[in-house]
Amino acid sequence: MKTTILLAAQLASLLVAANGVCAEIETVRQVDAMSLEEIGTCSLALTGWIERAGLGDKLQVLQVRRARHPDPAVGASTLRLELRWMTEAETWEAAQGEYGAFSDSFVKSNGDAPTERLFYKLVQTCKVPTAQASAHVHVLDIEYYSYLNASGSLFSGSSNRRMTVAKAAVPAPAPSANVPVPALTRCAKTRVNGGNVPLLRVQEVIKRYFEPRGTFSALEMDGFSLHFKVRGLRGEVLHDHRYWENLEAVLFITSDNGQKLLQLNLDGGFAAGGGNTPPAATEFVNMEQAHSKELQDYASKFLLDLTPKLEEGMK
Amino acid sequence: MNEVSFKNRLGIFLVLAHFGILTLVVVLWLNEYYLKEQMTTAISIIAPFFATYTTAIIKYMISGKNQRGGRGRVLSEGFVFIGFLVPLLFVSFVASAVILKAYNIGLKDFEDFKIMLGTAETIFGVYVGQLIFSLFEQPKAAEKPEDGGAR
Repeated sequence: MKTTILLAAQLASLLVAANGVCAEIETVRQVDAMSLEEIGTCSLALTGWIERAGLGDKLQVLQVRRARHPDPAVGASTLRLELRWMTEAETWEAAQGEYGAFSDSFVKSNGDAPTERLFYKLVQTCKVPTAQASAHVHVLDIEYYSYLNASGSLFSGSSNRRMTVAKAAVPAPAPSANVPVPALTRCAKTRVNGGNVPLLRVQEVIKRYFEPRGTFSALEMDGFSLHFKVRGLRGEVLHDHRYWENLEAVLFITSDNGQKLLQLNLDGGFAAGGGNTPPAATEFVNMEQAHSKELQDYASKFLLDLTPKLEEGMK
Repeated sequence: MNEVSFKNRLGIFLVLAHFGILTLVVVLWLNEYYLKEQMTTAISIIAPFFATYTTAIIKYMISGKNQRGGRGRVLSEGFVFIGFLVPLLFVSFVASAVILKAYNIGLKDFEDFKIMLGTAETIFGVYVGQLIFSLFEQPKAAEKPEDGGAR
């Protein structure tokens, strides 16, 4: 809670101090202020994303709704994404084992648990504050979830009707075949040594990182995440080509064992063309289909490049 | 300029333009000015534009492969001017669209590019078609001109 308040206070003071930078940042919607229509649109967008990611036959969106935050210490309302694990297993154990195998495979290929990825996608898609979102997957009577707790750490756990909160986010994998897990957004994680990482400072560092090569614009910012776009890049992710590239990313900064954990969710698009004029936004093809490896490598490289620059500023 | 000479020059120009523009699209694709899907779409739109005319021209050229000496009627300067101007504008319009899209100048969107090509066909298609078919279509046996035309 303290970290949340501290970061929010820092952010507020920095926003006042730097009007020029903040002019291009939209206000993040508070969950309480969201209309039912907005929540419905958000639910449809998430359903579409799950379908496109090839998970539609495994995960079904039950609802997106306003609810009390799972961590009572946070106090705020939360936008709660609830999904059901679709299973044809005949026994409870088989169903849990099936989800366990899926989750294990997901962690192997994406680096984080399905509920964590769903949590990040919920924040990104619905444009709500990071501290006001939670993702829940129901596997029969067991519920797996992820949310940002009062100390600013991403917390993942599971519970059932009788007992709550197990420490591990991911149950032990069952001995079954790996489930291929596609993901539409590439993700990378790194840790930063030092104290607080003000997001405006992060924004400046990222802006400077891209500035000579592309046009950086911050889209949204809350106490824990920065949503930004970079346009007009060339050969940044796809080194062997001279395509125009656009990047859109959400950088999450959470606490983890006294360190700051940076997680980058990155989407990229490319388009052909010569000269100095980039093509229209509609021309860009998502990199996920043909260049997912390059996008993943770039996400990792970007965070590696970013970390020392951030640590340098915190000394 | 006499008719046979005009036909030959115009025919060769249009055939070269046809394959030249298609080659241009492929070269631009190889240099990453077009994505593969855009290149194939562009070719599938442009090729039929010219194919209608080049088919008639190539047919005429083949039928006249053993032609000797026939020069045909002398054409008026006005006809020769219009006869070259309209196809030249058509070819320039299509080639410009291909290059402008490659550099995203004016045509930032591929849909705009397709509309531009459609416009070219609408504006010039009727005139070029009339001109080409009147010159290159083989007359039916009963309607053969006295001087024989291209043999």
